[in-house]
Amino acid sequence: MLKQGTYQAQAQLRLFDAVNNSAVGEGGEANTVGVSASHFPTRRAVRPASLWLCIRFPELSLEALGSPREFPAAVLSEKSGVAAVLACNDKAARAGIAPGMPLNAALALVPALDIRQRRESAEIAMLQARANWALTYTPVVSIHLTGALLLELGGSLRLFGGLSNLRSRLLADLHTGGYRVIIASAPVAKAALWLARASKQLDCNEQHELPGLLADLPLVCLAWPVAVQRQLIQMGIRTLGDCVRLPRDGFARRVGPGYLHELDQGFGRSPDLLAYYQPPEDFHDSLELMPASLVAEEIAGALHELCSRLSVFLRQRQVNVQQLCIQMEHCGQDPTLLEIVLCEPCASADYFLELLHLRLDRQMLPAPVTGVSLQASVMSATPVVGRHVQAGTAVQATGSFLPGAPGSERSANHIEVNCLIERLQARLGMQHVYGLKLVAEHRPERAWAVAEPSGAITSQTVPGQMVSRIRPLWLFVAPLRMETRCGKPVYRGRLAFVSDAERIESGWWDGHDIRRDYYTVTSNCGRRLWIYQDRRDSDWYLHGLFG
Amino acid sequence: MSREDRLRKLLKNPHIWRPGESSATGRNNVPSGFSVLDQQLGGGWPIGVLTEILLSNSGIGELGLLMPALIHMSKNDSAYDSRSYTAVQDTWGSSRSDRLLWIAPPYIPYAPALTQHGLDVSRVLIVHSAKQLDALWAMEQALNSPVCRVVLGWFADIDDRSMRRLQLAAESGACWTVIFRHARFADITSPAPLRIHIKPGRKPEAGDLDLNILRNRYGPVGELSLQC
Repeated sequence: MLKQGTYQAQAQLRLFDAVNNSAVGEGGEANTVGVSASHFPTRRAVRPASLWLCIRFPELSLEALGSPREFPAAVLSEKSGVAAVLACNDKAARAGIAPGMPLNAALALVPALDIRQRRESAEIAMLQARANWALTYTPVVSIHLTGALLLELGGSLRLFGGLSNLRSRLLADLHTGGYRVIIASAPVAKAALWLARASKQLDCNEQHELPGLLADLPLVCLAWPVAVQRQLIQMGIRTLGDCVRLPRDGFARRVGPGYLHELDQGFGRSPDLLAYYQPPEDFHDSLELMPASLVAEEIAGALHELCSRLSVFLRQRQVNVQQLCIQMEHCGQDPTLLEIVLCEPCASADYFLELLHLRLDRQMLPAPVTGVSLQASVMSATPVVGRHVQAGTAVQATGSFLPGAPGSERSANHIEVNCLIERLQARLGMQHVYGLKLVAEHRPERAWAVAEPSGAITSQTVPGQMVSRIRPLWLFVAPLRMETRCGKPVYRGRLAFVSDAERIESGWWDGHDIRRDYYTVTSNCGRRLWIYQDRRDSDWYLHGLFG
Repeated sequence: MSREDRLRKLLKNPHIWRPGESSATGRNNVPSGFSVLDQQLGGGWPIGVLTEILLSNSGIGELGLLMPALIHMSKNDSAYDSRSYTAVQDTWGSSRSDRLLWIAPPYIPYAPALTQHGLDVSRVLIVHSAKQLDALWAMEQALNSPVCRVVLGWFADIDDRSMRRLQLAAESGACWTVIFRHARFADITSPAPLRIHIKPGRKPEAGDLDLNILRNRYGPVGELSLQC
């Protein structure tokens, strides 16, 4: 009795230490803040007390597999060769099914039970997706693989107007997602997790309330190995409070020092180092279509979902993307690839969707689509001018804060030009929309080249001495061989020569050398033609029109 | 406000055209570079409406006819300020639109020749399309976007409904819009307010071109000869 009393006093003392300790563990600079505060008492920087919110998803394994809610459903896991229920939904629980029950027993209770095998990869992917969402509210998110997220909200309380506001916003988001959740908060991460595991939807904001609240929790919420739990129960220990009342050295010797440390972390006596979630650099997401579909609306629906996920991702990371790759899986056939390349990085999901629709309209699908995946490598960070596209018009969304900043108008114009070009390219194909540029070259067909359509406006001039004579406005893609009559070229009748010959002889160095005499002629139908005679074989060709 | 004042105010609406009134005030146009033609068109090529040019063969001088205006439109904006097209300035909102879009041209617009004429080729955008439906879609998109200053389109066969759509799109924007069609459509009605049938003139080598203005909302119809 006496011994226990001393331990409690010790625990109180240790608890006090731990509060200071955890402050140091949290910030690292807490000490320096304290020092500077003593020097400058008026400019004291108040660091918000840490507050951890645990969101537990009790039906994660069901949700990850898309199990129905309307019928009794359960997820199985193999434990030493015996299939047992890992989780079940409300309907199944009402019928008497409980986690840990063997499959046979569960089937005996509900013969029509919807049974699925657990897929841990899907659960992790789902948790990561929710962690990405949670980053909206706090930069510090930790994933607990038993199906919970830990959010540090102490730093976000002021921005979101207090815990109750923040909590209701979180709950509203989770409600739209359709997830079942249990939410608990505590000044210590582990304590929040334990409260949530015990299904106690509590808000414990003060450190001193914590031991009292935790004391009543059952041992199950620690999620320790079954053998350890059984050992403690045989000792007559049923709650966390019972555990804490045991002598420390004895507990460490009989149960294990690791478990003692975990208890200390939960009660805030020693710092808890959590692995914070780092969102991925690139976006990659996929959706399965069940059943496989060729219906445009269903595929577009999947694309819409993917694009809105991408948009959330981009908004959270404050980045823009320039290239999207859509892959549509088919059963037994090569996947269909769609690629969208933007002239400028952009972050608007609506705009991506619009371009994808334009592309999809023209895409032939060889077989029903079983799944759609979207991949985007992030190109640039923190745009100066954001793009926001609505109803086909582009407006400057988040431009410079200074009105009339230099170049702001130009970039707005740039955005509009790029929007038009991207839309045209999405429907007609990349290579069918282009600009023109000059090339310093004597050979007429090489004196111009296709230019990037979104290029800036640069006043070009004909390179000096390159062109002495007037050139035709229309050029043929390939010179057209002309018929000859009595050695003279004809084109729908006789031709009248207007100019004398212009010899163009060039290109011996790259294998495309030409030796041509160019003439301007007029035809009977009133067209002015640009024709040449190839000096090597004396054939006549039509090469352009003076439009 | 008296009845006359109200009537006068109403008549200032640019959408109202009265026969005999040549250059309607407030209407935007581009000087064509030919004084005879400017006179006939009430100031120049009209902006924000569809202009239809009918010809039997490409290369008879249709680009030569448009070239002075195209060059004018490809000049940068400081050149605009020196001129007095304030209304044009307003609708374009300073440097917003600066591209010259060519949709489905029959041959390659030859950049060295365009530059020789004085056109800024870096403003030229070209759209090719195997299907005419796509070309029409591209033209409508371009007319609805504030990017283009000039939209030129070549269409082999275009039905009345599409023409009306394009005319509506042209009215919503502030582009100089020209459609090239085959001369066989000359007798078929069209919603374009300006329709010109062009033929090679007496001396094609000198650039002679005969114009037959079939329909003209901005002035008299009739034939005239130009040297492009």
